[in-house]
Amino acid sequence: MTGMELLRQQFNGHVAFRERRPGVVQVLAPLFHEDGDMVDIFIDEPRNGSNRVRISDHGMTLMRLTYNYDLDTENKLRIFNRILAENRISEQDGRLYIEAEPERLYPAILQFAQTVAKVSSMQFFKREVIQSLFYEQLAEFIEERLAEFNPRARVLPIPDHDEYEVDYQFYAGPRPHNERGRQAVPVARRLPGKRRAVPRARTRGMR
Amino acid sequence: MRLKSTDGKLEFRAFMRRSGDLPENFSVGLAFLPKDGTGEVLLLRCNGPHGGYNDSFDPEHPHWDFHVHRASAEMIEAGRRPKRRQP
Repeated sequence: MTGMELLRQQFNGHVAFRERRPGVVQVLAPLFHEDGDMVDIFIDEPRNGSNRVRISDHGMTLMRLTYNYDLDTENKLRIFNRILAENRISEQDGRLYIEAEPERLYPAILQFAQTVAKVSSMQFFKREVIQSLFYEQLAEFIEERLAEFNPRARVLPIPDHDEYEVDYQFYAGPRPHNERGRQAVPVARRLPGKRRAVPRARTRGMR
Repeated sequence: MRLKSTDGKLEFRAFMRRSGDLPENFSVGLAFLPKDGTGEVLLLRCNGPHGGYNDSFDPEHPHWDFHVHRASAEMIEAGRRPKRRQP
C-alpha cells in the first residue's frame, strides 16, 4: 500500500489528491480556515534518495496571514518561531513544512494543519484586538475592585460637551483639609517660564 | 495601497498577493479602515483557483475555481472574517 493509499484509508475516504506541479500534490482534506478556504497542504515527492515525504504549504500560510498582519517586529517573529518550534514545524523561505515517512503522513498532516491554524490566528494579536481586551479587563476591574468609590462610566464633566467625556468618574470623598481646617482648592500654578496645563491642588492661602 | 472614497471621507486599504510557487494562487482584497481605532474590516477578497474539493464531503466549500469572499453585516457584527460566497 502506498503512502497515498494509506492516507486515503486513514481519512476514511475524505481526502483527494490533485497534482499541481510535477512532484507536487495538493492534499484536499476537510480542514478549513474560518472563511471556508481549505487549508493549503501539499506533498512534495522525496528527493535525494530519501524516503521521507515533505508536507508543505508552499508559502500559502504566511501569504494569507499578511493580508492584514505582518511579521514586522522582533516580538512577532519570536512568537511565530515559537509556534513552529513547539509544533516541530520547520520554515524555509517563508514555506512551512514537516517531513515524515510515508506511513506517518496522516498524523503529520494533522499536526501540520494544526500549526497552520495557530500561525493564522496570530492576526488576533493585532493592536486593536489587544486594546479592546484591555478595556474589557479595565471595566471588570473597576466594577469588582473599585465599587466602593461609586464609579460612573462615560461621564460628561461639562454638560453637553461630548468632547470632554471621561471614561470613568469616581467619588473619593470630600476635598482634603489643611491643618487649619481649610479646604484645599485647586489653583492653576504657573511655573517660571512654563505653563502648567493641569490644575494643581494646593491649600488656599499658602504659596 | 491606501484608497479613499470619492467624497474623501472614508479610507480603505487594497492588497494583492500572489504565490511565487503557484501563481494561480492569488488574492486581491479590499479592507475598510474605520477612524474609531476598532481595526480594519475586510470587505472583499478575490481568490484564484487554489484547489479542488472532494465531493465525498461538503460540496459547499469548493475552491477549485475563481471565487470571491464577501463580508456580510452579520459577520462584521460578530467580528468574523468574510465568508465564502459563490462567484
